[in-house]
Amino acid sequence: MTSSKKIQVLVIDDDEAMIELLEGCLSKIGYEVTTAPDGLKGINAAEKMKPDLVILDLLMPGMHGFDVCQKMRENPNLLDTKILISSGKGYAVDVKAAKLLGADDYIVKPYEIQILFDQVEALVGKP
Amino acid sequence: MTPLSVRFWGTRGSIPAPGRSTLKYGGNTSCVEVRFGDEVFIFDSGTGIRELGLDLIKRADGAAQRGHVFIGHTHWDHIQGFPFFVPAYLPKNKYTIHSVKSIGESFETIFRRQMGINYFPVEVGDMSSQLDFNHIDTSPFEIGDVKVKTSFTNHPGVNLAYRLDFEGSRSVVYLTDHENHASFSGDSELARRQDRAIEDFCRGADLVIVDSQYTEEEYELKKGWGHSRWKDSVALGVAAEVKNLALFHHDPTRTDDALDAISSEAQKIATAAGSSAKVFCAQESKEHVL
Ligand SMILES: [Zn+2]
Ligand SMILES: [Zn+2]
Repeated sequence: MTSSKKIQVLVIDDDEAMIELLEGCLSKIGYEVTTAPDGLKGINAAEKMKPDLVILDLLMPGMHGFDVCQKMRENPNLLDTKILISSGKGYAVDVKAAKLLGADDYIVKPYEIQILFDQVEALVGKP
Repeated sequence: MTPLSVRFWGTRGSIPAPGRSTLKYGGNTSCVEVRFGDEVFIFDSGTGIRELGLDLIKRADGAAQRGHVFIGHTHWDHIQGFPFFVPAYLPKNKYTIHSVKSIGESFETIFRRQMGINYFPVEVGDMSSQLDFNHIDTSPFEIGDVKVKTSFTNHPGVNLAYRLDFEGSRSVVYLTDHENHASFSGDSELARRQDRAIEDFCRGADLVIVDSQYTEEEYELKKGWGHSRWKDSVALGVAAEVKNLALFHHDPTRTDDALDAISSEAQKIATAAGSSAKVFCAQESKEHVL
């Protein structure tokens, strides 16, 4: 059986270069990618599209990524959405905090793109 | 033009460090007062806020006081003095405390908890002044004519840096508990962009008060603790073309002699880099007119 529905990924990051890179790489291998430049727009987009995966930055203008993560986890419509924190902040406390707030995994920027692919695949499967 | 001045009431990071070796730069934890005419803005409520409180009472001479307290984050060294901030106990006074949501809990919840029944005999609710909590993120806002900008810093958990812009294009930046991105995560395009964003936040300020907790040797061991090497902070001040750079959040082990030496070396480095900035280690109870 073939399904035509692609796996949907929402990238929330204020870094344009990061957005461009992830959008390019992930859609090239078959994921459907949407992007948002800050937490509030990200939450709105997530509520609308109910993505399979959110790749979420922490330090952005406006809301902190932790707050975004928590708000998404409080939303019953997004229970099936996986959250992958993607941040240059690789402090042990932050990794712990992300887990506490319901994130599914954490990747520290900058990273090899293959490592991201592996983590994405582990969370939502192959495109 | 309305007079603008800054006074350091606590310059230490991590834990108070009183004693003979810290008499000059002080042993109190983070607290800085910015005075703009009659208005009082306070950065952090480390142990330095106790003496600031007593001074405010003396200055008010019985009149009602109002003020704004900006808290970067709720690590102890930034909030532990508040229970001893006497003006907050006086009914006619009113303070607004601004900060950001931390890990999973609102700022107010965490801030109140340090005065919970098992930690302190008086609760925040028992303080008789009017205390308003203003929960912010990094969207800019205004208090009267003063423009407030904030930025998240590179520190474990959630922490804000503040920039206050006053009339006459005068500005003060409070950037403590921040670790230089490139030093922390290695030199990369991304780290450089992140450091540039911090640099832009400080750009052209009259005074930048900046985390400078570690020496190079200490940083070898304490990389990833959320604080900067003072040399990274001097480089930031030079790049951001600030007018005055106050090295701040001194390590509790740093003696007066060591801070004297850092002050003069830091000034030399900045001058050699072509900067006209005045660079110094922040000194408790010293006032700077801007
Ligand atoms: Zn601190
Ligand atoms: Zn801290």
